[in-house]
Amino acid sequence: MGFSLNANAQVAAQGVSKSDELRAFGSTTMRSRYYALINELRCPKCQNQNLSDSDAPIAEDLRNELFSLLDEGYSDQEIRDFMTARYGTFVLYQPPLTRFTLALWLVPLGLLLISGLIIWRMTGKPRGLTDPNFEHHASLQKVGAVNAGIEPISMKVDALDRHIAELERTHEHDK
Amino acid sequence: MISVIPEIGHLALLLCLPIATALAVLPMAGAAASWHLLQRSGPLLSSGLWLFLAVAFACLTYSFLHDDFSVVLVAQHSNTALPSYYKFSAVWGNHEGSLLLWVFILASWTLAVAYLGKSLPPDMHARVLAVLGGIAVGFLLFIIFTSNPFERNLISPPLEGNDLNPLLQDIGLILHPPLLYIGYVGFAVAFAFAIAALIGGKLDAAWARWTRPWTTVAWLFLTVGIALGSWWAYYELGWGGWWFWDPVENASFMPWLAGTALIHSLAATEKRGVFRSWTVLLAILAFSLSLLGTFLVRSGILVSVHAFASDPTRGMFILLFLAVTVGGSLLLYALRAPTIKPLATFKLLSRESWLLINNSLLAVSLAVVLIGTLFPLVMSALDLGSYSVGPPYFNKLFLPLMVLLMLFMGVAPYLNWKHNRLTPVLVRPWYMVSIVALGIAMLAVALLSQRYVTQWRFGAFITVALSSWLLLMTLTHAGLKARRFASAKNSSAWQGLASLSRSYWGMVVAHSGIAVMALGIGLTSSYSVQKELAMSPGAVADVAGYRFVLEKLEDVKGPNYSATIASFGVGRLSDGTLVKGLPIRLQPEKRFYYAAKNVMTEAGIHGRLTRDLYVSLGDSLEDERWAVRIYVKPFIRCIWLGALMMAAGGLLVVIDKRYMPRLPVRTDAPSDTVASKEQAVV
Amino acid sequence: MNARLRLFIPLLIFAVVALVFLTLEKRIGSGEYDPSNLPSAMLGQSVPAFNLSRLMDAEQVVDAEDIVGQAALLNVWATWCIACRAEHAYLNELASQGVPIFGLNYKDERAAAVQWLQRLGNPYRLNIFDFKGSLGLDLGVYGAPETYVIDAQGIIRYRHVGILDAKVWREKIEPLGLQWAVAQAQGAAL
Repeated sequence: MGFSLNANAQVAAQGVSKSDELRAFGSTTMRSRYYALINELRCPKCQNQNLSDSDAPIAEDLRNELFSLLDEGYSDQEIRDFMTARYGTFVLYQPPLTRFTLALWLVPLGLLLISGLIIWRMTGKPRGLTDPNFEHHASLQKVGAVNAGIEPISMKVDALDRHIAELERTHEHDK
Repeated sequence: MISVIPEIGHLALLLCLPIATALAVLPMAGAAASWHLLQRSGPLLSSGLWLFLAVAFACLTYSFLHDDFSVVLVAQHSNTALPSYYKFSAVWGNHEGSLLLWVFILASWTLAVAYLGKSLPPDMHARVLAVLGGIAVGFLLFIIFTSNPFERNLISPPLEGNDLNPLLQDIGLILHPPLLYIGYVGFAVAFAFAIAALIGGKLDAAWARWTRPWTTVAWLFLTVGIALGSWWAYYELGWGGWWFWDPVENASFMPWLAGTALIHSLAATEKRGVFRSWTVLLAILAFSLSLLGTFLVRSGILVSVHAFASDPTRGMFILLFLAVTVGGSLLLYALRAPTIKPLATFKLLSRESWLLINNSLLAVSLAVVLIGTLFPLVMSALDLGSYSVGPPYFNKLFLPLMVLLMLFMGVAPYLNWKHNRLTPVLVRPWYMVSIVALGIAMLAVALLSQRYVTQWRFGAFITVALSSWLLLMTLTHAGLKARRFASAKNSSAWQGLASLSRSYWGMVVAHSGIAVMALGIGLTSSYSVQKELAMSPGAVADVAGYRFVLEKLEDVKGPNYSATIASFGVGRLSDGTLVKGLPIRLQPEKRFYYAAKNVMTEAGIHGRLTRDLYVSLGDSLEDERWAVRIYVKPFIRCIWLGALMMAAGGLLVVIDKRYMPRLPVRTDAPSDTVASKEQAVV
Repeated sequence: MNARLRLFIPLLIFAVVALVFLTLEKRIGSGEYDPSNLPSAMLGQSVPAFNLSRLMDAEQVVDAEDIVGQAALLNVWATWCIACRAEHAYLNELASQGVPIFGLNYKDERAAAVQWLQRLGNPYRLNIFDFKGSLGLDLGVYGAPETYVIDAQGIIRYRHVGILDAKVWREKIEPLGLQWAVAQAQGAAL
């Protein structure tokens, strides 16, 4: 890799004297794209390292290649495609969307929904949510239930709960 | 003269097998048949197991320290030139030795349960020890039949050893595996309690109370172990990364997530008798995931920087062990766990509900890590192609989950058990805290963006706002709680603070730790500056407001390596001029290890809480120039500081008065009618 | 769903995971799968177009048409590659049986490579001199030695990473069912 005059000028403009950047980036955008890409592409030969972290010769080659592709004006996606065409989906740390990899995204989403549903069901109806005196309120309802002539002892608790909810609704109508 | 020490060690190891088998069988049988003599045999057998394993471990250590290359393991992983502290850590810097350490730690936990758990009901105590004995049997079989550390080569012992992998020649790696194993294996205790409770049919609040302190201790060791591993990767691998979502890292992170969920859900089970099936499942899961990690690292089915060399017989053996332990316990769970749903549904704004939300988020996070780790393996197994799942995937899913978790975490302390309302005091800090947090975030991001980059970083703003919000919410709660106590008792604010229980402080410190860690993660990923330069002696580089001057390069000889050391002088810049000269010295090295013929990079790091300066030396280029990587990483230390705070929080919880050993176990746990009904079903 | 049955879900998930592990272990044991070996992305595709010089004659240009036309091996090698030396004898043997082998001299010194062939024998019909590794990159080469099996239509049918030996030939390349016999007749032309 050569160090062009352009690179020295670029570096000097940032206040650096004598040390050149290893690569002559045309712009700061190009620099950040370069670092982003070498961090998300996997080195094909290494033990699970990205191109940035690996000292393997193939990683060095691919970094050089990536840099020249950027220089030639390839877009990020074109560079990813270039690498995948040669080394397979293996080199992408974020696998492309296919009918298999869909599971990677859908399963966590599904689990989140299911657990939300479970919590919703376990916490019961959001009754009394806005009522800070709910406890007090509910006990009043129970008294009401007993007064209505129902034998709570013989009832299943959840049936009682349902009944309370019903009474609560009528009670609100009364208000 | 040929030493017999390895033979003594081998013999001790072999003798462990019958002892562990007896431990697995006798107390369990005693508990089943109510035969008290057998039921009480656990502590004695545990002591025997520990003693013989200690002998075996000591013998292996002796062989390493005395360079006994007739022991194959020593010849493969040590060297006469290796400094003696690395000879010591080399004992577990390999597959066989680390397994011996694993089982030795298991025996130590078993011993601790045997003697500290004497206040448990005798049948429960016996069953717990038996389950731990059973696990020991599995691992001993594995060591003895597939991974004997004492294998010898007496016919032609080499004169010199192969040396320890240079990556492992490091202080962090002396401590990292033992801490990690103490955590992993510690979950075996929670696991044993869960199995014992399932067998005994007594899965109540008392069970949760006994399990809690053991789980917390294991969790805090695992926390420190993972943090240390991350720190090691940061300074030893030479590229400034601290977490890579590598399968082996994930393997240690999954039990941690399960353990974190477990310590929270145990609280609900203990205090309110709820979520029992879920809690017992988590206890099984935490340890199962530890075993899964062991399998992944040693089976040879994946490629990682951290994996051990492996052979297929080992993989098959661990798989078999996994099937028996995990499959068996999950089957037991399916058959015996209580099924009745709590009839008393709890309210949305109660602490129970929010613990459930916390657990759900942690469980989904765990699922993300598990799926991401296993996906490439599943694809390979079905021959559907070669995939990698790495940081871009995990970060995308993990970060939103963590944001949610932190939001819930901030409010959770303000909620009460059972009641469906926020503590009235919440209303006051809520707005204030949120406004202050937003203000801090604006200010911090404005300052940092000006300092490190020109543009405004939205991600950083969110992290600072969220972290300071969580921190303030947590601390405000402590303050309000102390004030309420002080005004009730007419005492000073300090007395009020001192009156709060240690376990409450544990929560405050651990949750603050999360905030600090999130701050570190957010800021370091938003503002880190990385430059790759070609520098010759005398060259100057200005990076992110610091001037780095390469003063000289020199060749140095270490005990078992030769190195090129670069000396950098670094100083702060203000308007392009140095403020106080070059007060900071950084000395990155490039080492060549003779025995392993291996080149290693040692980074030069100068750390402050607010930023790390990190220089690593690359290859030598033409005309005396060297490739140099310079990083400035703001607030990266907060990541490990946060982890240490979490562990400290765990420690505070454990030393809370109510968990101190030798206190009689209270049996007035809230076993309401629902609980007794469930027991009847079990 | 029955509440008891629901408790079997974790066991079920574990059983699936264990099955995956078992399959992997079996495939590794039988040599069918090696986690450190990457399957080639070029399988089923034509040899990429290239335009490089011959190793033996810098003036002469080679392109894909020069190596397409019969079932053949394309062997990636270099003098800096120790394993290449280990497989060289077997390549000589294959060549003597008439198997057409083309060489891709990968990121190497021309003089050293020529000398190597003079000393160890030349099993190659033709050697492509890829100094910059550009054809290597297009093929997805990530090290040496690698051997590509190309059919008569120029489609890449198999890629072997590492040393090529009789076992690999017997177990991996022969089962592809390519017409090596035709090549045998042509082998006389060597």
